Amino acid sequence: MATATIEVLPDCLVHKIVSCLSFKEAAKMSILSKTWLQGWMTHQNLELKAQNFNVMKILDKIMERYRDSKIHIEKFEFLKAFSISGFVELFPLIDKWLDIALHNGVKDLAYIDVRSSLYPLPIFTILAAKSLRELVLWGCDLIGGSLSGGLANCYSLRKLSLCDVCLNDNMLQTLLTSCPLIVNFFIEHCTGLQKTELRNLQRVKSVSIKTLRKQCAKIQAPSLEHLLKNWILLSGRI
Amino acid sequence: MAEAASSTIEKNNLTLKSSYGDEFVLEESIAIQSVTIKNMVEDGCSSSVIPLSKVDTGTLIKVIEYMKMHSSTSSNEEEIQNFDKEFVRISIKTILNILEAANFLDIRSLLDLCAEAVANRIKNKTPEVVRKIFNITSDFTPEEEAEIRNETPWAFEGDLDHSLD
Repeated sequence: MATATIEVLPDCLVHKIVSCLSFKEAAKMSILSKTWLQGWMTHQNLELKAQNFNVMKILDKIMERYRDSKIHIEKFEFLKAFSISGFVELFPLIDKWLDIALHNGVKDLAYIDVRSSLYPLPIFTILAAKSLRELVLWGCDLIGGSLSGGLANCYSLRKLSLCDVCLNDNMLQTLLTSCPLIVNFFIEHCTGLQKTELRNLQRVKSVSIKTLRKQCAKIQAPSLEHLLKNWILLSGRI
Repeated sequence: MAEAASSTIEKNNLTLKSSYGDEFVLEESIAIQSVTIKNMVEDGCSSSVIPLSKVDTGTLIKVIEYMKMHSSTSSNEEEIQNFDKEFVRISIKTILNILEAANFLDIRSLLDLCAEAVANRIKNKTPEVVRKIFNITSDFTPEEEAEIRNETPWAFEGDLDHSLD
């Protein structure tokens, strides 16, 4: 009997293998054949990495394809790994991509800008999407986030991670109030914050807080199992 | 498993026949992890031998080994995880054979395990090497291939593995 080769593997099995690859690995394999290309084009876990200005155009084409073909998006991660002065002009592009991801059912969303250019992330539009399970934000601005259109509760969110995010005490409270069922909460180096206060989070199990000097933290959480504050592990009920 | 089988052996056993004609007797409760076999049993084919014309002997032995482990009530989650890890420490070609069999037999967890294992084995390889492993002839024109490479420039960064297994 002949050994199995991809020629006899049904398309659905190729697509199955491609779905187990990361977005980048799947893109690399897209030149193997049309079946592999199709597998990549419908990949549900998008990890977009922008190392330079030109890549943004390519990424925009990818996102438009997801929008036009209504391809489901499970995970959307945008990583900006370059620093440019004119990034402000690209903010509408980011708005557009987040909008496409939300429309296409995204569950895990990450915006990571290691050289923060303070993109005003439309946080309440994101929370209104209802499908969200994990939200990771790094290097963006939440103070500018508009509350217009009212505040919707996001009962689906389980994990919230904020790092190097610009927000104030009020915004953090509003954010936590609208996501009452968070299980994992992580906050680090957020400027503009005086105190990190956690209350009424009935399901929270794991909290990690790394504050800047003069910031204080107050935690009231009956279900807490792990607390990491300024990287010193405190355990037990708080 | 052994003690339960002795008394009700006639009633609850199935015979699976590989494409080579080799027959394997297996408890029905274990075999019906395969949705395809389950459907056959429900349709009344259980009294006869079940021919699996798309599954060769070596592959069938591996599939049965997997089904036995996964229906065992005495093994805990960690043992199953370790078993799965060891189970796919075989050549890519063999994993592909099992992947196809899992698809035909409709065993979801085995399909997931094999697809994940194949992906892990090829993820760091160059497309050229993967083409050889899978025996793929490209159906793109050189222009089409160049265009795809242009549209996914970030995908071709980093060190790649040139080995065939």
